[in-house]
Amino acid sequence: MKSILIPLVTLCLLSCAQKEEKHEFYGKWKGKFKSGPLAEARFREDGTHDYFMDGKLFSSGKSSFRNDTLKTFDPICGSGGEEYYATYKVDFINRDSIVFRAIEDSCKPRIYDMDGTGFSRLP
Amino acid sequence: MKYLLIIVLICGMLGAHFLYRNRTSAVPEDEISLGKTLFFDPLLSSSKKISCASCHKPAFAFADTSALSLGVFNRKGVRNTPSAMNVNNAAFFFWDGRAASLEEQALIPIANPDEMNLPVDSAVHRLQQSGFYQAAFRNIYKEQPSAKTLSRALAAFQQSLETSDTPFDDWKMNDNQQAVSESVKRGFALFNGSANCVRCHFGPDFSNLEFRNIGLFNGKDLNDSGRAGITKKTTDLGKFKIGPLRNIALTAPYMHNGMFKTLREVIDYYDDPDKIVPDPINRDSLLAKPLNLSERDKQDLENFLKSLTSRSLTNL
Repeated sequence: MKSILIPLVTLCLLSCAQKEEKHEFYGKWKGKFKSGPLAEARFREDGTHDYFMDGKLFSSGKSSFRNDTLKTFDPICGSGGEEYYATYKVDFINRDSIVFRAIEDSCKPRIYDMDGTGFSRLP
Repeated sequence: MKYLLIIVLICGMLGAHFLYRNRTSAVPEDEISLGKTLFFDPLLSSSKKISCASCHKPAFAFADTSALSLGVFNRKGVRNTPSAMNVNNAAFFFWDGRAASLEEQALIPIANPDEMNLPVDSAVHRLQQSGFYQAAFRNIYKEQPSAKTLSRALAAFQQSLETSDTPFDDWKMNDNQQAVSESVKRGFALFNGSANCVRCHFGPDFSNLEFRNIGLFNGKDLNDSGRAGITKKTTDLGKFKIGPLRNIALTAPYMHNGMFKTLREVIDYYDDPDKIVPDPINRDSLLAKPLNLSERDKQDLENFLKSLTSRSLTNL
């Protein structure tokens, strides 16, 4: 009985692991914001991110990524000194192509630029 | 007969000199080069002694070192000369935002009696009388000089004055951790966080499209109404354009009236505005409470601001 149970549990664990494929989100991405400029986004595992436009830093904030969900804070979107984190679903079209879908974001300029915007991975 | 020949020769040489101003330099072949030539040419002032560059000095990030610049006949302006660099993202020009485009902005100082004091029509006429400029404008715009093409050329030159070669850019853009000191990094964290600077100074040039009242209007000794002079709205009293911070270390003195001589004075002001101007009118609520910055915080902020200086300017 024991000899059957062990392979069965192993198989089940492997199967579950395959269903929850872990997407590699951290790194450099490029995309075009709806407001016009070409943007480069850098998400780091230390929980920081930077957005660049035309070779200049546009915003430097904090973010965390888990289960294809991005929690993100940009200082220019804060109010009253609080750290407001918006929530975005990150749809992976493939491993090198993503689209941001707003779940909750009260920062109008950011949601305008981010919601529905596609980014492709940079080397 | 010999003397007559010499006189004719001298007259000819003088005539050629006036006909082809700057003939030693090649006729500009693009808008930016033409704009640059015009920017430095005192021909565009009534006295022929003041050019745009007299107040927008290249070594100081195209700003001035005086609180108020001197125009023709030493006439003093009413506001501090802002940097003419990194203006591509601006939506308004001048401290009170009276011009909505660089082209519109470019002609205003030429005609301003306290600056270059030359009606735009006269400036255009002078350019049309110059063989050098006739050739340049025809070469680039396929027409003789006009107010429109004069403003286009000056705007094109200013648009070319973008800088992104600073130690800060090197740190952020190239992930070069050695490009700036730990003090600069702490300063940026403060700027981006508890010091609240980022609430007004953000984006590629650390500027903003808004006008804010930072408390330098009290209706008495500080009586420049700023944006309200344009909009006639009392809610705009004492509001001024939020300028870019790139190259700010080179553009002292600071603020619309040049009242702060150093970056440290600016930081001290923002740390506790009431200590400097205790009776402001309509001051922005962002400045309601003192920041209580430590000495190290202030030094870090100053070092961060200095890290926004273009290497092309520090090497001048």
